[in-house]
Amino acid sequence: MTLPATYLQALERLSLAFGTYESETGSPPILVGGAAAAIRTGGQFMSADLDVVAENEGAFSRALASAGFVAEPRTGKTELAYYHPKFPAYAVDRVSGAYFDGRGDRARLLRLVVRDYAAIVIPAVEDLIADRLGQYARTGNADGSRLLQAQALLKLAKRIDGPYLRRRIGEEGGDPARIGY
Amino acid sequence: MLRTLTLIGYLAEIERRKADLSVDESPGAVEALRNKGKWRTAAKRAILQRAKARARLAGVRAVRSYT
Repeated sequence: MTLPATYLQALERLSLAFGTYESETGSPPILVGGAAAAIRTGGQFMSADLDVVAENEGAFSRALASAGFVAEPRTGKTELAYYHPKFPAYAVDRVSGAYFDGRGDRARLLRLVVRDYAAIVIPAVEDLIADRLGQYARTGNADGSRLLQAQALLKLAKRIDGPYLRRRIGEEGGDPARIGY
Repeated sequence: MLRTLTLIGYLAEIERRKADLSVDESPGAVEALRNKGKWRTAAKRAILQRAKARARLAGVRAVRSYT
């Protein structure tokens, strides 16, 4: 299974917005959550929402608009989703707050060049695994999909920094033993 | 300086690893990985429902998701 062509095209548009945002603020937005996990697993599972950490809401909104994205109608104070009219099946959702509440190591981010010099930025695989396991724990270990996602990410990872992974899983409230760490 | 790769090269490497590791990508295995939606926030549910509705209106395939 691979990522659909329309998903890659939507990522290409998003990468243009990422570049604009970084030019204005000096730091890149970060694609997190299911979308980042979908990329790290080569589309083993898909998500329609593209969650992005971008601390400067105004700059992010301007960057998305410059790449052709439009804001959904606001139905509440926290409604922050956008979509690109050419790719209506996907939604960009800005995640408020700092990258993993300031606990993720930004030096470990991975920049993926989509086209020319436009790129998206995704978390280190250790941070994504920790995030999935933290979410699994928060469901009282009831949402097995999150544990399976963590296992899939671990299986496909070329290298793992064990101490960093264990620390991050603990910070996210997960149990490293669930994946043998 | 962040580690930088091309997206296409990265995805190709992931595909090679999946083949080497004989990763199960059967419909059942893929479905098991899908977020079942029970713990989603109302706002996230609404975002996914609107994405589905837009896709339907445009006549394009919606991403399967539980809302």
